[in-house]
Amino acid sequence: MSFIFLLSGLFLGWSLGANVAGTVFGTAVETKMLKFKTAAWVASVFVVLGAVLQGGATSSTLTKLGSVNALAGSFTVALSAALSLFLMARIRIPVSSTQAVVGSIIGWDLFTGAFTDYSVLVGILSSWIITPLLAAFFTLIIFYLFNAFLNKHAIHIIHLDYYTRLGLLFACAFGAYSIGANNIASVMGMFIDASPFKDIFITMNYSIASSTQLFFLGSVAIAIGIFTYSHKNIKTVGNDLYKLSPLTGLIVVLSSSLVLFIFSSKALASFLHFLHLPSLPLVPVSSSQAIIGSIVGLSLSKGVHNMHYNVLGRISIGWLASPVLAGIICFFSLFVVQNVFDQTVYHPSYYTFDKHVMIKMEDERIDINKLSILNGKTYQSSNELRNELLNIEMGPRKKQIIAEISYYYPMRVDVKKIDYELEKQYFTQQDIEDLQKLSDNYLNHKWQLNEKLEEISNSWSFKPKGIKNNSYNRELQKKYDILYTTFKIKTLSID
Amino acid sequence: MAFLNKVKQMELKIDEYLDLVSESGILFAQIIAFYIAKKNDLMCEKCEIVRTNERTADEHRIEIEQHLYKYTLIPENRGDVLSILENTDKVINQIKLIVMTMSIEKPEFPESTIPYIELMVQSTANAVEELIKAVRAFFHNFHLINDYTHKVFFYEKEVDDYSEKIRKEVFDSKIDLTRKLHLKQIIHEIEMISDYCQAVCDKLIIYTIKRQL
Repeated sequence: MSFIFLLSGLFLGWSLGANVAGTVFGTAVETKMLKFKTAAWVASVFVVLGAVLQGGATSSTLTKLGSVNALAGSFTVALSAALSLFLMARIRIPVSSTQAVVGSIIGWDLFTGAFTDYSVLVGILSSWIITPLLAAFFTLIIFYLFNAFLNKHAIHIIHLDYYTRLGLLFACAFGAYSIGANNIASVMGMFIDASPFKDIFITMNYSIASSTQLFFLGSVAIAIGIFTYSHKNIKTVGNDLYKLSPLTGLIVVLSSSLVLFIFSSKALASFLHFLHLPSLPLVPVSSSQAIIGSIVGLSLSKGVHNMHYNVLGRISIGWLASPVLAGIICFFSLFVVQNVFDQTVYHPSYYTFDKHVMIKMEDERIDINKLSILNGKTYQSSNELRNELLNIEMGPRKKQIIAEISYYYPMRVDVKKIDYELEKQYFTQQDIEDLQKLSDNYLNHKWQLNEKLEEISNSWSFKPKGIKNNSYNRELQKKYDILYTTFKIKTLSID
Repeated sequence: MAFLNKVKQMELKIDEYLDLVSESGILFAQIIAFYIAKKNDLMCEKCEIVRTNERTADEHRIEIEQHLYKYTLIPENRGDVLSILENTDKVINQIKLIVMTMSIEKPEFPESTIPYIELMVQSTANAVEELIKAVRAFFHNFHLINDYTHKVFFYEKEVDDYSEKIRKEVFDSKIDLTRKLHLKQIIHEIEMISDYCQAVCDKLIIYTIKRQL
């Protein structure tokens, strides 16, 4: 049954593949610079690589926006996004699957009363404005670099054709990798918290996480979409807007892929952080927005001729309409799935404010005097908590921390589970011994497990943020995530 | 790697083709000079080279066309390149036609027209030379095309001027009308060479705009 629920995500992946091909290699195939089969193979391989190797970064952002925690809910979110894409395509407005998915998730948040992290939402919304602007900026730079290079070096037209082909092949691979890395979150992100897969441990130091398996499945669906349907849809979004030559097509694909890449590169974000520079949020952005931005940039660099403003206007309307439409469809679909088909579309979230939580908040430098009305209370949804927090004067970041600390997640450190269920390959002997010291401990919040383990050994503490510590912290977080899932008590009960 | 080899071969083939047209332009001027100087042996020898060049150029052109289609090279500019090559081919065809006509029909030019004919032939040869430079620039560095095309236009105008003067001299002279008409036809055929050059340049200018990034 759980795999049937995944079908809507796979359908979304398939439609993304069918549409995205135009973005990545539409110009190359249309102008006969690359054969469809060659381009499709390259794009498919690199979509899968991008999704599996780098897909995690943007997915975690999407999970923060709305942690869809029931498979039927994930199914409905993906289906609503796919439906809104279909409806918009029927009225010939090119839209982004990313925007539709974000709209759907907000629809889920509204339906379930889940806490919408507004800082994440603002990050995503701002990326929708930054994406086309940045793409236009990159296009201007790449255009002038190309122009200067071609003016300086007399390259024979036949050789230039050869280099352009190579460039288009590289752009196809890079574009597909970036789309895989950035957009896989739109396809499979909503299934992460309700994944039917389990981590597969291969060696002592290597495991295939359930999310990676999901991303692989999603990216294969994208690849199938590229092979089976993209040839019917090969015309680029851009060609309606502006006629592209192979060389200008190369510039457009390179610059838009670069934008997608920097919005999904953890390494780049860490590097910028290391240099004390502001980094871009790791969010799923729209490839079609990036392409449109690039084409506008190209037309600006060429002195704006032949730009079809009516097409541009129609596309801009689509950017506004698609998330709203997806949100509305999702909201009503969830109602139908829950009440007509009797499926669980979300698992309720509880927020408790006991003395431990209040102490923890004090440790986190939150003024608990302002929170006295919360003390001893339990809230049955994030919406309820948010309404209560509305009356308290505090920044959105602090309110987010309050929600994270008070989030009720009952766990029991079970000796049997440590011995039989916990994958020994992933945990060292020392780790197991540390966990055994906590045997039969009941914990109500995730952070309590962290604190208990940190008391036992320093090896359970996160290191300060920075490039050199990123890998260590990521691995540690993975360990904690496994422990949370393993020790979780399935039936919710409030102490 | 195999594709890169094909690319290099194609580049070489185009260069060879243009060399043949350029060489035929120079030979054209020499052949007319030998004809005027009545050095028939040398003239026939050079005529034979032009005839061979024209045949080889045709073979090259056909091979280039076939390769461009077979390996889908420069799909965006293929039509333009073929049009340029086909129109350039008209130049070498016309050169061959004139030198063969001269060697067969042996037109007799009045003495007063000889200086103008020499100037006209030189300007025609110059137009062909500048045309080949312009075509090479189209392939290598299209920003330089205007440097050559304007020279082609200049020489074409000169050829027209000399042609007018020669026809005037011919029709003012006391020779038979049939001879006058024969010479008029020959002069017109020579004029056609620079006209073809101009036609190629017109296309080059348009295609250059298309090639700009």
